[in-house]
Amino acid sequence: MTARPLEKYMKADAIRALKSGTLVLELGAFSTRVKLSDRRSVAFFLDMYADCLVTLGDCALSDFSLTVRPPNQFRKYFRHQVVPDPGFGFPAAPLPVSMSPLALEMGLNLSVALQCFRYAIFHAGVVAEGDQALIIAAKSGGGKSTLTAALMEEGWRLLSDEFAILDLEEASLRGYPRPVSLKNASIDVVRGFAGKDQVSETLHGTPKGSIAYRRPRRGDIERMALPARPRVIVFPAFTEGAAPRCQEIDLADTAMQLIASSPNYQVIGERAFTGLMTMLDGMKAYEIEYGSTEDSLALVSDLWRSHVS
Amino acid sequence: MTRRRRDIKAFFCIATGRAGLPDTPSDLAAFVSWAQESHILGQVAAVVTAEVGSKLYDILENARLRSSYDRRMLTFETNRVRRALMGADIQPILLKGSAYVAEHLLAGVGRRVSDIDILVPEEHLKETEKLLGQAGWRAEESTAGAYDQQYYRRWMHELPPLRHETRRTLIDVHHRLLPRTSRIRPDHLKLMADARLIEGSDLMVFSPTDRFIHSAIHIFGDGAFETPARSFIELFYLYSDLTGAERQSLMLRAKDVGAETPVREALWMLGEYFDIQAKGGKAPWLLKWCIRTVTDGQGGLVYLANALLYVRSHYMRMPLPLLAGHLWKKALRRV
Amino acid sequence: MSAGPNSDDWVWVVDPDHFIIYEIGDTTFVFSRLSGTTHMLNLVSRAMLDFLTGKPKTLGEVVAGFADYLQVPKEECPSGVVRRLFDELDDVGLVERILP
Repeated sequence: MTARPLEKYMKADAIRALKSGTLVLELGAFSTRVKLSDRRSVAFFLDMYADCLVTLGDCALSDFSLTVRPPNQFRKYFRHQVVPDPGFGFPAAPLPVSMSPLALEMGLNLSVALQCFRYAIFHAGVVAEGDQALIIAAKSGGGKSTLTAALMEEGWRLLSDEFAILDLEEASLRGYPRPVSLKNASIDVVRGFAGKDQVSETLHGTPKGSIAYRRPRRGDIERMALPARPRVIVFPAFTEGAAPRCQEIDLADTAMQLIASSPNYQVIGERAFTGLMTMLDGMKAYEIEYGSTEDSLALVSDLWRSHVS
Repeated sequence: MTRRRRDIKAFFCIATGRAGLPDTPSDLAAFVSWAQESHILGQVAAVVTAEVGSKLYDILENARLRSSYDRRMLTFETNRVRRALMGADIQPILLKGSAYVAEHLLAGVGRRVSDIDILVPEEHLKETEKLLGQAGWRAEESTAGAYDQQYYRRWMHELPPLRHETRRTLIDVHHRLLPRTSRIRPDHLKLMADARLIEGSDLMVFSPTDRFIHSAIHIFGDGAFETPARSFIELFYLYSDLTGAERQSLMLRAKDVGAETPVREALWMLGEYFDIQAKGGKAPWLLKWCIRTVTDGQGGLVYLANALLYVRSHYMRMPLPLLAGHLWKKALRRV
Repeated sequence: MSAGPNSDDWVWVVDPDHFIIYEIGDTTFVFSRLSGTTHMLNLVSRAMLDFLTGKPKTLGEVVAGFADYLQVPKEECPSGVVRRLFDELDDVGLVERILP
């Protein structure tokens, strides 16, 4: 029973599997059993994960299990709501069913962030050129995901949008190419350069504003098992009208910031410490500030070329 | 996927290393699913060897890493308790998970633990609380309100949970084994008198027999069976650690310390799920039905069984008038 | 808040097997194996760690000898500061008591 791209299955079979909790998403480092009950999240999943490998049936083992369901029996019939349930009693706030794709994506993030201990996880996006990776550190409103999407357009491979997943033995990063989450103004920007069929419908009025997702491409999925060695880490800051600026920063500070951004560093302990220190050895860290996508791409291109030959 | 009662017993067998993994992929998936939902993957990882590179290997390795952290955290917190009480001539008795890890017992391997539990004589309670407070452990916010603090100190068998101000870890300081108002009245002084020092430390643990008895008291005399698989595996390993002589004298000791009923119920459970034929196992029909239903875990009656066990746990802790008063005050607060 | 009481005759030491050190430029990172925590130490804290690694001392001896170890005049090393540096190691379990 091998995994096949989702779109290769009969649509009816895939929908039945999603609703009965017998679909397992095999994506890079993790496999997740996904169970969905509402029309909207099912449609989103079939669209955004069309190229991803899945297995149907109840014989597949999975690292994690996610159900997106009504918070209780009552909410199933009145003022429809859903909540992501990763199976360990996480107290997530319910969302209106119209935002169920957000519940799905948040739930998948939670599943990894709170249950993975085999790899050290840092809150950052990762793209790669060949087998060398660029880590894009996340800061609220910093523009990580827009930059990630723009770099994808320039030919960089997407490893992951939400997490840098560090293999502690090899000091390399693993792929987990899920849809890239876009907020507010960046949605139209990315639709503009990637094309409408690459970006999901916009969810309006979410707790984080307007949200949409850019699908991972077939090439990203096909190469998701290939690790990449991180060479540079950038801390992006988008500011309207700002002149482009690049500043090298101290690796020691970078280490502390990465540790602070990690949901599992403390749990893993010693191996995470030595793994992180080994990873940082020979890397460079930069703060970049910019007011437009072209400027951000130029900055990245410059510092990449100067450090990575 | 429907699971009949027979399969749960087989699952317990596999989870404690007495049988190999199921042959078919769907049976294996059912077992792993059960272990995942029951939060016992860490224990399973200790007795099962999976093929390197398989998904099962990843899952078990992940669980092993998680429980390693718990063990390290518990060991360090125990170390910190010793540090806080250094020089004070107080020898706390480690209870439950803390004791299992400190003594390297099977019951502690791969186990998920979150808090430390210690037992001190009532006359040392004030001093213990003071010293722990100086080392950073303060009363938890949720029970810091006046009524709850008062309730706790007057009726409970422990101080309100103390949380460390920087590490955020929790410690429960007990001075008896069950609340003053519990239906079961175990003689904690007898259990404490038989406690022994952990080698190279001034922390203590109960004797192996008393550890089993305390676990039975805690699970059958005080809990609502929220995690039956975990609890039953714990009792299985504690019983397995007893010598033949200790098993022979178990019921006598249980009667002597006032814990006959919970121990009989625990022995019934060991017969039911682990085929252990120990003399004296007995449990009321309704309790058996509730336990079987929640352990099986499927079907509409699980909700009812859980509700009954929940009511039972409160009933065990408080006589009715007191319970009504307590719930009333709590309800008022919410409004 | 301090990790616990102290007494003039209690002997303390840092066990080199209980931590790992990694240097990035001028910064020292220490991973404490007992607590599982990672610390960024400045030069003075690092010096305190080295002062006690494998060399048992009472708190009194630490306070008396640290200024000389750093090769600075005693006025630049008030006992309060030295105690605080010791307490930092005590809090995370890096310094351990040797029982008689």
